[in-house]
Formats: sequence, structure tokens, C-alpha cells
Amino acid sequence: MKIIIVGGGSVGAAICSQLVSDGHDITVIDLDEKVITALSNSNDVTGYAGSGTDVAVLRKAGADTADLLIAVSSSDELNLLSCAAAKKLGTQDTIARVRNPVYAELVRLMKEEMGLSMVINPELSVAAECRRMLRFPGAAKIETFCRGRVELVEAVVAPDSPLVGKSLYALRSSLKMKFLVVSVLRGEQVFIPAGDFVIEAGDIIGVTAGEEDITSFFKDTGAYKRPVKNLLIAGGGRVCYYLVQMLKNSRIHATVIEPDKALCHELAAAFPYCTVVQDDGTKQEVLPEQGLEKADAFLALSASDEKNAIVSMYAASLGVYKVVTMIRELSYVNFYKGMGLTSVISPKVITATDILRYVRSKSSTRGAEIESLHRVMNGKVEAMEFIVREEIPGITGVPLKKLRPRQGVLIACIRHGETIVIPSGDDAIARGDSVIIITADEHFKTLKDIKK
Amino acid sequence: MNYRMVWSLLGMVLLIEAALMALPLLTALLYHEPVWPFLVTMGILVAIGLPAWLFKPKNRNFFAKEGFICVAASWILMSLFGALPFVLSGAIPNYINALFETVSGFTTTGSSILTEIESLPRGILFWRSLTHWVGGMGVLVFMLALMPKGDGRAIHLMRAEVPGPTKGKLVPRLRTTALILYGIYMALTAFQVIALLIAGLPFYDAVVTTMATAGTGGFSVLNNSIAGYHNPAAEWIIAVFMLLFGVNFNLYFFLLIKRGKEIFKSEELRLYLGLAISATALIVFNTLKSFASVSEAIRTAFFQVTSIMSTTGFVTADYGAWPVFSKTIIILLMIFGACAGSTAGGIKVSRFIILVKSAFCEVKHLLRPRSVNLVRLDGEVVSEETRRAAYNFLVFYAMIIMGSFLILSLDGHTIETNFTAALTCVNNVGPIMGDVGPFGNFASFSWLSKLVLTADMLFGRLEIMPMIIFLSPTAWKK
Repeated sequence: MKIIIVGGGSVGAAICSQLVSDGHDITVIDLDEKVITALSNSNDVTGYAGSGTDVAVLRKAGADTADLLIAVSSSDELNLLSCAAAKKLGTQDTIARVRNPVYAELVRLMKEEMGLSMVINPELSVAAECRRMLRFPGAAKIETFCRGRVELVEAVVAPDSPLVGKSLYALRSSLKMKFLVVSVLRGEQVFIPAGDFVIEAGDIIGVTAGEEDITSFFKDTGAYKRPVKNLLIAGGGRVCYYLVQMLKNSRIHATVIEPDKALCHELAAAFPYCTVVQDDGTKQEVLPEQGLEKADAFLALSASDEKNAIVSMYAASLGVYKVVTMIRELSYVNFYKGMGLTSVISPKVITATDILRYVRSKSSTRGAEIESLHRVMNGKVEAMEFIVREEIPGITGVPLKKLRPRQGVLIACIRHGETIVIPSGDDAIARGDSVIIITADEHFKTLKDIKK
Repeated sequence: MNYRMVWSLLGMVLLIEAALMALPLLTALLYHEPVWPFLVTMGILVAIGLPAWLFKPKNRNFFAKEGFICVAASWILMSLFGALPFVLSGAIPNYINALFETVSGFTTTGSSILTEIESLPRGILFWRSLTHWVGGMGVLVFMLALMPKGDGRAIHLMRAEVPGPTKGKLVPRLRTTALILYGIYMALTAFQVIALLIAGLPFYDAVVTTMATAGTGGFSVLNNSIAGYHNPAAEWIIAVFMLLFGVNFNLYFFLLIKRGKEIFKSEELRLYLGLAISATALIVFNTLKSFASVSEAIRTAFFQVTSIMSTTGFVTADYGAWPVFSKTIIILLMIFGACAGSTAGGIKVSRFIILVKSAFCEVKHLLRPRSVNLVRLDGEVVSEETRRAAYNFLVFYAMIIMGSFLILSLDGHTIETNFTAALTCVNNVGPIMGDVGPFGNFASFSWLSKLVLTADMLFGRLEIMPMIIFLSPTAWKK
């Protein structure tokens, strides 16, 4: 696909290098000539210095023939305008990053007029991610498929977990439920495990199951000790705002600590069901006073990455069960993860992932059959959702035990009408099903690739 | 320095050279000439190139420094091995002479040490002309066109090899850009071959002459260059194509994608054509008396002007005998060169525009120290970096010419000869003036002078910087 990226900041650069290696033709527009030079030095892309709202620049970048324009500059207004302009010039699809909640309603109102195919609100996505994490505190990461009906949960296996030392066969017969361990990350190595695979402590496992089963899986294996009831949030910014909004009607009680008076008032006015404390939540003496030790979960969402990291480590040292750390700058993310912060979320990473998912499911180079594509296990494994639109000889109607997928390819889940099937040997793929394939092979394009 | 990555790329370059040698090999077969000089050279190239290429480096880091060194090393290695067929076949027994001839070929200079060309084997002459064609667009650009999935950092290779003050890709993908450039190159080449065949040249001559024109090289298979054909139609065709190959290839791309208007915006093209026309007119007026007819005067002047300006170096008239005014114009045109992004050498018209405009800017700045003065090219502001690079280029360019001029003076030729010899090699033009004359050759220079001129040609073709970096010890540190 011919893709134009407006804004070469950290999100722009991240999606740029990913999309180039996926085989797309990328043109970057940025106000700063140096950004363009740096990007074209390290990636196979061209670029033009100028504003994404400048029609001449857009024309030069080929907006009249482009398939997609992704506007991720730092300005919401510029993003929206360049999408509208590109659409008018002839660009097929446009994606805009819009952060200011003020525009949320506007965008919903004018999505069609502005020619937007997708709007990304990083703070909202982060809040949604936090919400999912609170539902499965044992999980490090959660992906959803089949419009939320199926979940793929990544979790770290603790040394005292009953999973340690068991083969997958043994697990499946002892636990009376339908689940599938689809991938295991051990150190840097990724396994698509067969039945005789034995789980070790420290592995990160990816598990799929239906909505109810996954909860009981984590309950039975001890990774899901108790539901989160008391939540402490340091930092009352936008992410916090969206998150607290989502917690309405849930059993979670949130306490927000925010130093800014105006923000506190805004939160307290909007959400009477949560406790708002005006104080600095990154101070050591403040947190115990607000009941950090008794909290089931702690979210560090303040504006400072460093403070978030430190305060999260402190919370973890006090034995808080679930600690989520928001890190905005990408440069140290992996370092923080290595320092024992298991759940690090970054608005930029989430934005980039969302955009990549959209492009990958759109792009014809990977075949139009892919409904959605997720990267899991640090991006080493792909989970793809296919919809079986026609009979495929040798695949549809064949029981899975006879199908014998090749090594490293796993059929994780079949959605048959409204029922979710975690497949065993007797199940078969039928026309109209949604199928989720897990593989580490980047060249997997169509369902037919199961066998080759 | 990522030596292993550079080695791997060099291996690929050598393999490409081996593959290219199949063409003269076929020619030799066709004319029943000995093929073993090519076979032996190809064997050596594969023996060295294949292990280097197969050795895949783990660390694929590749930066500007590696790009410069890789390009300089490729050109040097290609020339060192490319000289072997000349030596092995006995066409040019002396290795230094053969190296001079090969470098002159790859750098599209066209200066020769051969006095008797017509009696040489046709396969060898084909190789000699093919080096022009390959060197014109560049072997690394060719490699980029072949590479299945280019590393993003390979842009450094293209930057180091494609001439001109500013370099950009035509399309987002490097490989597609390289394919487009070679596509345009091949199409123009094909057009010229057909045109020359229609003009009545034999097939072999049409092909080798076209290769020498396309690369703006200037090797001819006749002792008297193009004059030897006594074919005015062919002279016109060659003159026009020399002019065309001196034009920035990006403009042809704009023509292809129906953005023809951009062509007229190009200041460089306008100045290039303007210079060619006015130089032709001046020379016609200055030399009119010595020609039988006006049409002959125009044809001869136009041919020499396009030949020198595009830095090809074909000759149809002994301009050594022309009035001093015309000779001076020819020498000045040598320095100008043609457009950036073409196959030609020289300072390049666009760099010249930037330099002159910058100089005037400085004057304005002195008059009103607080005024903000920008240099524009084709309506767009030229960055400070590009301007600085152009100044840098000029300084090294002048130093290299002065140094060569001094060393050449040991040989006992006239000052005019030495000066034009240094100019012709650094600018990749080909012919010299003075006591040797445009039809003459470099055989009478000493081995030291030949080596200096060989280096000059490489400096000129790669636009100096890659070679300077290649020679500077700090670049080689791990």
C-alpha cells in the first residue's frame, strides 16, 4: 500500500519502520527537515518537510493516489485537517490521532464529513487497556478476538504456580475446562507448544479460552487470586478520567490522588462514586496514608515517567498485588520491564499497535482474508483471525486430528455461529466460521497455509 | 566500521562484475576470438566474490561512513579486476596502462592510452565500452535494483554513488527508484542504438558507441573517434543523445508520470541548455572561416560542445587548432559539466548555481549584516548543509587539480597539456589539448602521472568525498 505518515515523532517513527518491513511504500511529512533526514537514513522511506495541512506538500507526497494517510503529529487540529485534505485529494483511507477529549464528540459528529476511517485516542486506549488489566490482574497483556468474545491472555508463571512442571496434556485432563496454551515465551525464545510441552517457572504463557473459562482458568491455576476491589490511582489526568468513567457500575472502588486542584474538582464533579484526594501521589509519605498497603491494585498514571517507575517499584515492594505503570517515553520501556515492572503501558505503543493492526488487516499484500491481526509475546507471535468465506478442499470439514497443521501453526479457536469452540481433535472448520491461527511464521497469509 | 557488512556488499559487486563480463565473452565467441581472458577473470571474481557474499554478517548496521567506504572500495576493486582481460589478452600488456584504461572506462572519462584501437579484438573493445555503460549509472545503483529487499540504510550507497549536490529518491522505495533509473537508462540506450542503425552504422559500432554515449564516456572503437565514420547524421544523433544523457534523470521520470511541467521549472536544465546553445553559437562565429559551410560549422561546434559539456569526450574536429577563444570555451565547459543526477561528470550545473548564488548572498550579507538571505533553487530554499557541502566540494576539487597539475609537470609536456589533462580526468571528460591534441592519447605520460590521473578520475566520478573518506585513517577505526 502507498501510505503517507504525517508527523515523524516517536509514534510516527515506530509505525514507519514496522510498515516498511511489512512491505509498504511510505512517505513521511514532518515540519522538521532533520526528522525527515533521520527517518530516511534509517528506513527505506522518502519524506517532505512541511505541514500536513499544506496541500502542495500533500500533493508532492502523492496524496492523490495514496491508499492511506496516518496523521500522528503532536497537534490534533493539524491531524484532523490533514486527514480531511488528503481525503479530498483522493486518499482512500485516513487515520487521525486525536487526544483532546473536547474533540471526541466533534469527531463522532463529523467523522464522515472529515473523511476519517479511524480515530485514535491514545489516552482512551490506555484507559481501556488498564480496565482489561484490572479484570485479569494475573495477566500481563490481553488481546480480544471475535469482537471481544474470545480473549488471549498473556501471564507470567509464578514459581509457586500449580502449572510449573506439568505438561499441557496433564493440565488439560486435570482442569475440567476448555482452554489452550497457544504460545510460550521463555527468555528470548518463543514456542508454539505441542501437548508434551512442560511449563517452567518464569515462562510467559499465552492462553485462549471463552470469556467464562478464562476467568476460571486463572482462578484454578492460582494466578487469579482475588478480584480487584480497592484501586489506588496516582495522577488524575486524561487516562484517569476515561478509566474512572469506565469503572462506573463496577465493583471496583477507585481512589484518585492528584495534586492539581482544578483536575480534582473536575473528577469529583464528574464521578461521585470515586474518592478524590488532592495530594501528590508520587510522594512516599502520601501513599500509605491513602491505604496503598490495603489496595489490590495501584496505577501510576502521573505525567512523569520517572516518578511513575519509582512509585510503582515502591508499591510492588509493599506487596501490592497488581501494579500498572504508565510510561510515555519509549526509550526506557524495556529497561523498566527488566526492573520488575510487569505491567508497563505506553500510550505511544498502544497507538502504534492500533494503527498497525488496522493497516495489516486492510493491506492486500497479506491477503484480504485476514480479519484482524495481533502481535503477542513481544511481537514474536502473530495471532490472526480469518473468516472462512468458502469451502477450502482439504481444510474445511476435516477433523483437526486428521488435518495435521504443520509445525509452529496452531488453531487456537473457532467461532461457530454464536458458540466459541476451543478446538480438540474432533472439531472441524466449516464455512462461515471465524478461525484464529497462532503462528511465529510471518509469511502466513491464507488459511491454506495451515498445511504447507 | 562494520567491515563484514562492507565485505558482503563488495562480494556482491564482484559477482555482478563477473556476470557483466558474460557480454564481452559472448561477443568474443561470436567473432571467434579467444575467450579465456574473460573466463579467467570471471573465475577470479567468483572465487573472491562468492565467499565474501555468502558470508552473511550478523550485525547489519550500516551508516553513512560504511556507505562511502563501500562505494569507494567497490569502484577501486572493480577497476583492479576489470583491467585483467586487457592484460591477459595482450591488448594492453602493461597493468598500469590497463588500469588507467579500465578506470577511464568505469568513471566514464574516456581518456585512452591506446594509440591503435581498430586492430584490437572486438570482445575486448566491447568490454572497454561496457565499462562506460555500467559506470555511467553506477554499479551500486544496479545492485540496489537487484537486491530483493533493501535495507533502509542502503540509501547511503546511493547517496555516495549518484552525483549531484542534493540526492533524493524518486519513490519511497529505494529498489523501485533504482529500477526506474535503470529503466530510463536502458530505454534511452535502446532508442540511440535504433537511431544509429537507421543512420547506417554497423550493429557492433552502434552498440559500443551508444554504450559510450549513454555513460557519457567517450571511448570509440575507431582511432579517429566519431570523425572516423564520416557520417553527419550519426554525428547529429550522437550529439543530441550526449545532451540527453547529461540531463537529470529525475526529469525523465517526471515526464513519465505526466508531471511534465516540473521540467520547465528546473533552473539547472534551463542553464544547461542555455550554455550549450550559447557556447555553440560563440564557437560557430569564432570558427566559421575554417569550415566549408555554415551547417558543417554548426554541426561540428554543437557536437564538440555537447561532447565536452556532457563530459563524454567524443571528437569530430581537432579543436586544438581552433582560435584561443573557442578553445577557452571548451576548457570552461569541461569544468561546468552537466546536470546532477545524470551520468555526466564535472562540477555539475546545479552545484555551480548554488555556489554562485551563495556567493552573491554573502555580498548581500556584507552590505546589510542583519538581513536574512536564502539561496533558492527551483523556487525551493537550499539548506545550509547543501551549501556547505558545495563549498567543500569546490575546495577539494581545486586542491586535487592543483596537486595533479604539479605532478604532471614533471613529464615535460606543455602547461596547456598538463592543465587540460588534470581537468579532463577530474571532470571525467576525456580529450586533452596542447601538444597532444584531442585525437591524441595519454600513452606519452609517465607511470606516475598515469596513476595520479587514474586517482583523479575516481575522485571525479565519485564526487571526491567517498574517496577522501576512504583515504582518511579515522574512518577505518573499529
